[in-house]
Amino acid sequence: MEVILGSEILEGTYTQIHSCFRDVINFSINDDLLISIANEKIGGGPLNIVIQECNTEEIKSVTVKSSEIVINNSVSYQCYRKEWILPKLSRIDISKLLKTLEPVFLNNIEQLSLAFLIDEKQKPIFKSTLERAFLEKAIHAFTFLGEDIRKCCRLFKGLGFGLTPSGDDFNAGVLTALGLTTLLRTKNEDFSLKKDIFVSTMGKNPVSNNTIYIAYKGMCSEKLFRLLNAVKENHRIEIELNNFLNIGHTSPIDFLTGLYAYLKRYYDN
Amino acid sequence: MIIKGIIKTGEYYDSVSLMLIAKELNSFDGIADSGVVMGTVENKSILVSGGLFPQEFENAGDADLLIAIKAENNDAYEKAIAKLDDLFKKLRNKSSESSDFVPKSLEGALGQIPDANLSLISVAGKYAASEARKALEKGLHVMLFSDNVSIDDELELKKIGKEKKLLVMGPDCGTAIINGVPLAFANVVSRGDIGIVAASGTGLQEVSCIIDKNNCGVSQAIGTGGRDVKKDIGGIMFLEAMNALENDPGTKVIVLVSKPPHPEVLDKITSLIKDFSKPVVAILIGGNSEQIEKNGAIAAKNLSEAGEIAAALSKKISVESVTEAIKNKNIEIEKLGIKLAGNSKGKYLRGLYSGGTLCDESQLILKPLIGNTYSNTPLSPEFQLKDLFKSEENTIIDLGDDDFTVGRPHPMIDFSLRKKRMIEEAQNKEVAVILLDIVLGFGSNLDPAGEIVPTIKEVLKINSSLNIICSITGTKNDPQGYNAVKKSLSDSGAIVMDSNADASLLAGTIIKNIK
Amino acid sequence: MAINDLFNSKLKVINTGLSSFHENLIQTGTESVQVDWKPPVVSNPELLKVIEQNQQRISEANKKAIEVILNGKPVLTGLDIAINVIPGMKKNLILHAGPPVTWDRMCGPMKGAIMGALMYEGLAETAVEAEKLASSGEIEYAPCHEHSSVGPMAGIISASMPVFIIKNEAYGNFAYCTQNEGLGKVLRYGAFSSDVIVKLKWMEKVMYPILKAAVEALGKIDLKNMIAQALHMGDEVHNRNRAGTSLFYRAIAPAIIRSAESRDDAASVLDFINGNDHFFLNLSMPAAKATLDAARNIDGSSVAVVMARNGTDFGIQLAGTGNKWFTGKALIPDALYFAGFTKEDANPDIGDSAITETVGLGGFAIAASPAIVQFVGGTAKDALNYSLEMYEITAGENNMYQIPALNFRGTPTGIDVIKVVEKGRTPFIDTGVAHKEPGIGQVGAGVLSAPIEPFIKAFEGLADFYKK
Repeated sequence: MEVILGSEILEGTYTQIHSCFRDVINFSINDDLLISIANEKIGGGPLNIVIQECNTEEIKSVTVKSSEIVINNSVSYQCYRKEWILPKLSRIDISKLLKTLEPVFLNNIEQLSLAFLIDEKQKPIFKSTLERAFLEKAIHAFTFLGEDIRKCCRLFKGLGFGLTPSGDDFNAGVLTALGLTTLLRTKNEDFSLKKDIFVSTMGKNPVSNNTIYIAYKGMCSEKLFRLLNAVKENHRIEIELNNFLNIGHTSPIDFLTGLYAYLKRYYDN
Repeated sequence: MIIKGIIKTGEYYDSVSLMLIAKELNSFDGIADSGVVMGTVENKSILVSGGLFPQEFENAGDADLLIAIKAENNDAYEKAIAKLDDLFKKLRNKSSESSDFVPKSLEGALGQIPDANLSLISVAGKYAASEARKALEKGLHVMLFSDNVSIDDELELKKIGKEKKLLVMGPDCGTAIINGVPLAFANVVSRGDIGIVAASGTGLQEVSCIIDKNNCGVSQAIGTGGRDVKKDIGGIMFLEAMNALENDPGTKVIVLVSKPPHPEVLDKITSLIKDFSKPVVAILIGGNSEQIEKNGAIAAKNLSEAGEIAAALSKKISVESVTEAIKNKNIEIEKLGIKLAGNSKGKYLRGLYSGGTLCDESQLILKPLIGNTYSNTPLSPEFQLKDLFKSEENTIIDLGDDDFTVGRPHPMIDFSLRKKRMIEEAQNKEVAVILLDIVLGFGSNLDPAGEIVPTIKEVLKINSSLNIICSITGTKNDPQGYNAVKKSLSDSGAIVMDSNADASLLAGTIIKNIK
Repeated sequence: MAINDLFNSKLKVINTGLSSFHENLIQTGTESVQVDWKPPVVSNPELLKVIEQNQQRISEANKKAIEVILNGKPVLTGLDIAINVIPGMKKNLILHAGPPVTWDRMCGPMKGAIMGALMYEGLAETAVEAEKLASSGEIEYAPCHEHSSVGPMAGIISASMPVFIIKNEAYGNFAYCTQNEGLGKVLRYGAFSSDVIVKLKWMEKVMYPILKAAVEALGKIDLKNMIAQALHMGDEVHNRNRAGTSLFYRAIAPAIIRSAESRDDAASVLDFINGNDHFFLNLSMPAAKATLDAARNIDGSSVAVVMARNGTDFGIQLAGTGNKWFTGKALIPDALYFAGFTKEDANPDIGDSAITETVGLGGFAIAASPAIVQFVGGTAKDALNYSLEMYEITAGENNMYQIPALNFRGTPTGIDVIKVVEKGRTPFIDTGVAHKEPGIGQVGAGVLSAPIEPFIKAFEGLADFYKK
């Protein structure tokens, strides 16, 4: 059985379970970040360990060694490290990516995600007072995307529903988009912008922090990596897009909203 | 109206669960409004503006789950909380969805099918022998897909197998067809009366597919693993399998596929052939066939020819007519090669293989045409590639060798390495021919055309004078479908030949005739 | 089946490893079963080999062990005071649950229960005095299991406590266990306040003589039969004893009425039994103990005869390795906690009650008791799967204890430590969870997996036996 170990995971023993779900179990590294043991549905990532058909409920601890991991001090697997670095997209690739993503937002009816920022027709699904309040906050934050992206991200921090609030996923999307554009034009201001957004959007929710941290480091999850490469190579795009959308509930869409919005602005200018 | 709330610290629910809770909560009697969010600053502020912010939320943090409830009265609130608890409890346990019992061991599985007769084992090598031993003890035939099983274990298992009259296919047996059922990496081959014993996985696949292409079929195809015919194992299973086919009323023709066996093993094989009542076709890849021919077997020059001769015997057509037809076909291929050479630039050949035996066969066919080729598995050691990732002159590499597969799926499944290498080769102006094998069947990539067609197009864009030559090991009934894959490849500009032998001959002729 | 016979049969495959091979077989219409395989937890191939080479001897020894376990016939023959009947019992000896443990390593509930026992015995007046005495070295401690006894949770037995006497009629050996105190503030959860002692004194002075006289009047009560019936009525006799208690009540009530001198006392004893669903646990446990003790000292057998926890360590003993304990750290159960309690409050696993699992009851028979699984948040199907999985690690099936939902198949019986280690699956224990502070009581319940460490050590111990 092949076990894939993300490039950012340090060797050591992890015993503090942060949270456990059917497809993934998270261990705290420190107060800020997690490592995750996930199945193939979730896939790899810089802080992920992928074990095929893993039963998350049975896992109590994990020890990471150079080419081996040991679960519950008893079951050992050979593993190998994998890096997921954002692939370099050309301007043409970016336009293809934007085209690919557009229908995602249109088909998103009935999920309380940030997709309405791209497709206004979805606004009416926000009904309760709380949902309306969320809608307005998000719209307000979104208006700063052009003139003050730092402020935009600050306002999105921790905003919205879900274990990782939609705004955090949005911010990770923006940071990823910034990562893609800095690969095209190496401007110092881009680096400082990334840094500023990173510092102001890290919070006390380690699950959110993980996505933001990975995006800031110019890395990404396996599923996103595959999606971006599919767009580059014009092959299997739909399959990879679906796989990416399946890793979470609203998180993938919120993430793509941030990614799309920033890239669109970049591309149009 | 009252507004109250609960803070859950250190309990985490996925987003779907949280949404479900929010939805259910609003449907409870006497609940006017509610909110379920993580306790970030921004979310607290939306709770405030939504009029759903009880005092106790003041100190909640990012990682706390906030449940705010606006209820008609305290009674409704208490009732909602009680129901909520149930809901959380259910969600907590939802993950252990009940499913049917899956046995945890061979013993347990035998409880479900007591009359099972074959154990297919593909666990990590160091555990595989022990699993195989258990299966043999229970009287099951064994197919051992796992590699990295020690030679001592292999010998012991095969001795037990022989004593108990049980098959031990493998270790490192990638393919077999028993009673028409393809096992592990195998093609969907028609049923017929040709029996195969093979100490080579892709060799077995190529021969069985050629048989299928010739409208014949296979009775049994037994893999033994490559080491069986070496000195240490002494051909135990190869010989057992030969005897079984000789005694099998469903088998009329026997085909033997192997790299050259150890002389002692070859002696045992030939002494069996001598007494066999059924015709035997043998292909000893890279070996001398004199000894077996002397003892009554028909020696084939390559895998494709072995398949065609076996088909002829099965159809009761004369073998001479088949070899004659092959000769004529080869003349045509050479003509085509000379023609293509005229339009080619560059001078070298690069073969990128996923099947080990096919890679060997190609080198053997090329040698008389263009001399030795460089490889990670060369015919003679002085042609060992210094850098596996850099081709030299004429190079044929086996991407399925351990050199390339450690920590990565086999190239029959994962095309990425091969695609990358194709582009690199195409960028080299000295390259005139790229030679490929595409292996279909169970276990292989389900969309090989989808994987490789875009790369072929890209390669031809980089260098339009390149010849991309390939063969497809597969049948029309394989899940990928031979005909569909062939069409996609041809349409993309590749030259698709009927067999690896034909493809290699064409590739060699081109290189030989480039001015 | 010779090779040529295989060619003439329908191919039926057991697939161990890559599940895609199984799916492909199903796609071609071939009968195939996928094995959910895990690597064995002992990685030393030398030891595995020693065991493999001796497989023949081991299975013969195990066959014998299973025969003894299945032949066991535990009956309740009477009651007496501990010091009169328990072998080796003396005034300054206190028996406890699980493998041996020293005072300084004992968990909170066990310390509390020992202090209570010292006050009950009149050896100490106050808690402070009791604690001082307990740690002074004047008091000796030993596992119940080493004195033919068992006790739930802390499992404390002191010299003047009344005990049930269970005889294994097939082999003539005995086992002992105290009377169950009920729920709430009780000694077995480490409570030692004066009301706890008062209740224990009532059990000694009022209940014990009445029960003793009643059992004497009846002669004996067949516990094996009663457990078998209870299984048909939804008990697994570890965490659920409602049916067993009812059956016992039905058997004992007429005898109590006839033999009790005081009508009020008779009523209060009957009320006590009726009000305590777990009363039967202190009979099912010694019944299991008496059955398993007969299978001790069968050289080379890999069948477990004891599985017990003391709140600090989890220990097992094998039929084939004498009186040696193989221990590992007792884990904090990952159970379902009652409202207001979390894992933080829980004590590591404690009690001799896992003796029920060892004999093929409790978690092994949980398919007979779907109500328990529902209680801990599962479904009836989960219950079946738990029991089905246990057949994978046992050496036999029970002849008397049956699971109605499995078409009256015998419960998985006789934990085979080799199978546990080879398959990397440990026994399920269906247990209650104690609060880590003395005297608070039960905080949760669950179906837990035993830790693997003691089983690995036992496997190594057995391999050592065969190396000699």
